[in-house]
Amino acid sequence: MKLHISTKIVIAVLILVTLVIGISSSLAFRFYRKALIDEMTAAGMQIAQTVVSGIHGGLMVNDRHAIRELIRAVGGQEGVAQVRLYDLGGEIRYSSVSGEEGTSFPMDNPTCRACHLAEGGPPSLEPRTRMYREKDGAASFLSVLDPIANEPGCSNAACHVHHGSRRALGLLEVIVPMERMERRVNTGKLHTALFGLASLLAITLILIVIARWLIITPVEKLVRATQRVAEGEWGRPISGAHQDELGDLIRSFNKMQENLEVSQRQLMLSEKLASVGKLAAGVAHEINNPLTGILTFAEDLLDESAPGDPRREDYEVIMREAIRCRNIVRNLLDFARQDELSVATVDMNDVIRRTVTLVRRLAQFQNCHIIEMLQGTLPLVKGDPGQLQQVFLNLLVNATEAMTEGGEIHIITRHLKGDPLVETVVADTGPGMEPDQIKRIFEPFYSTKHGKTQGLGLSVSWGIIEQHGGSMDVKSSVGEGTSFTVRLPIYWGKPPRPG
Amino acid sequence: MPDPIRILVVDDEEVVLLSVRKVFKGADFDMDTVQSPQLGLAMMESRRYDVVITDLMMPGMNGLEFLDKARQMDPGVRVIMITGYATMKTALQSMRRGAFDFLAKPFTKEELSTIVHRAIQHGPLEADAGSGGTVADAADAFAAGKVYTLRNHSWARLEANGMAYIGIEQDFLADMGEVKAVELPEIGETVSQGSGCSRLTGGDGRTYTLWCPLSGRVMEINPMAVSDPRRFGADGVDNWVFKIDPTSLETEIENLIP
Repeated sequence: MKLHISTKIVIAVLILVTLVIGISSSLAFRFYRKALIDEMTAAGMQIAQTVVSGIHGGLMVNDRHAIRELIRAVGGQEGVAQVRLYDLGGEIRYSSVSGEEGTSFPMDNPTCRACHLAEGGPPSLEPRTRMYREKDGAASFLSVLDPIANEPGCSNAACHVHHGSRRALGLLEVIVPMERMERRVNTGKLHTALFGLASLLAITLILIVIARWLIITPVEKLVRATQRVAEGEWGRPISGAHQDELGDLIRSFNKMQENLEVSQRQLMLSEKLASVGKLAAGVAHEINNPLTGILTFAEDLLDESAPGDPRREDYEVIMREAIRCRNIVRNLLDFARQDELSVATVDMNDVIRRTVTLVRRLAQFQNCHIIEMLQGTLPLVKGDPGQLQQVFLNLLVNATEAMTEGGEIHIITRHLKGDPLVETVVADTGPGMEPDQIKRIFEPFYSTKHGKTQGLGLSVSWGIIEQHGGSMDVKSSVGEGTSFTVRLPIYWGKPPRPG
Repeated sequence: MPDPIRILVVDDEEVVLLSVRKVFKGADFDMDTVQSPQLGLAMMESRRYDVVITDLMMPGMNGLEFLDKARQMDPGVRVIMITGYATMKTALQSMRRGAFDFLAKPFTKEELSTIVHRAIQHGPLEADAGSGGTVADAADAFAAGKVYTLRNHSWARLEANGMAYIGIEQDFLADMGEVKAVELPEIGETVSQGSGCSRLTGGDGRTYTLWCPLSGRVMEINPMAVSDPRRFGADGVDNWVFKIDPTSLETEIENLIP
């Protein structure tokens, strides 16, 4: 079974929280119960001592009635189950429960054993407590046993009932029901359990919300995005990255996707260029022979027709259009032909200066202000100066064609320290392009010049830069002009033979 | 009436043979057309031709091989290579190996007839034309003042600053007779090796297209070439027509005759 990582974390946290709550509340209850019992014990002792001092007078004068009345009165109070007074032989002499008086308990019953058998020697005269449960198990009780000490008043009394050597004369037992306390403890347990459950629920909910916000959503976004990329759907960056590790992952994923997209686009473009080139070469080759027939036959018809023949115009149209086909085919073949580079070491500033010198003479550049911003010293690049010049001439001509009303062309060369590339930017102040135009700008046969050209110029330029191991990209926005950036790798080796 | 001009056409494509027939019809021409180079050579065994027009790419034997064999059989024959535009480099090689000229398909009637006309007008072929020759010293190859020629068409003279002057071969001018007008590329335009870079109008009204020896960008035009084309044939005149900034000098120079 596949469990969400966040589910696993939530389950682990819940188990931990349950354990912590369980252990701590069980400890708390143990203390709570002990405190309650201590309190009950103290109260029981208090009652026992009250009874002992209450019956002191009665005992002294052997006022049986008064003793019985007091014991019954105390035993009938709320919070007291029973009060008994034993003699030394274990016989109940007085009890708050009628009919019990005269009953004897053998020494090994739990009440006596609490003091007599548990300790070897004679028991101390300190009061003791004992907890017990009724035989049917329904109710539990706390029994406080307070030995009544022999006093000089007792042994020296005129009646001489008690011998002076005795330490104790009897035992008072006050039995307190523990039911209320147990009920309080149980209610407390119930409340704590309910509270614990509620907190667990709340913690679960909070954890789920936090996990969803911090883990599940970003992870799901990442998973969906990777699936999209795996299925070949590119381009949508993941939004809403947090400032944490998953956020970093999302950001680097976006960056990766962006880089992949660029390189895939470049790859697709170069494949497209190559296949278009092959196709063009093949088509051009095949079409040359039939075009030869069309051209020469049409020309022959034209030559043979009489000067006033109305069909002459038709023949001329056939010839003209066939020649147009020939030019298209030749352009295609020029495009398809990957000229070998005649490689030299090139200073990009020289390439730009030569290109600019050339274009300044052209009529179409009269409206354009060309601003050169060339970095003082540039590392050399390895390339074909002629073909590189072709690329920049192409960019400059495109820029002037875009700026029919005139404008500025900025040409920037620069190299940042440590960068393996030299960058050349050609930026115009023309009307700019729409995003979907930008995407297709390097594609062969894509032209924004409405059929005036075949849309091969930038493809050829792109191919040349690619052949140089460089890259070319474009930035443009409508109303803000267009800039092309050409990056070429620096030449590190020794220059070739002087040429 | 003079003897008709004997032309042999070798091309595996029938439509090309038909087209060439359309160009050279009438009593002035005596034409044979064959569809394979082997048949072409067999025809040459039995007859002598003034001009042989052959495709460069044919099944069985390529145009260069055919050219060599044809010139062995008849050193004086003018061979015109018909080429696809994509095989320009092979066409230029054939020029080094003794072809009279070449023409890229598809061609017009006028283009082909002008070339054949020049072939017929041309004086005896240089005996050593087929040897071509190689650039002996690589460093020397780019020396200033060095001249390279595209046979029967044009020459390029290298300058110390990497530029090259382009001029018209004397043979070309001699073949066309009088030069009436010269049409040149514009400054900034690109010209490519083996393609037409200039159109000259001859005294006979024909338009002769000049193949460019090197690819490059036109930097300067010789104003005299346009204003006074008649002086072109004159001895002692430095008849360069335009100056280019060559784009692929190193690779292209191998296609030219030093």
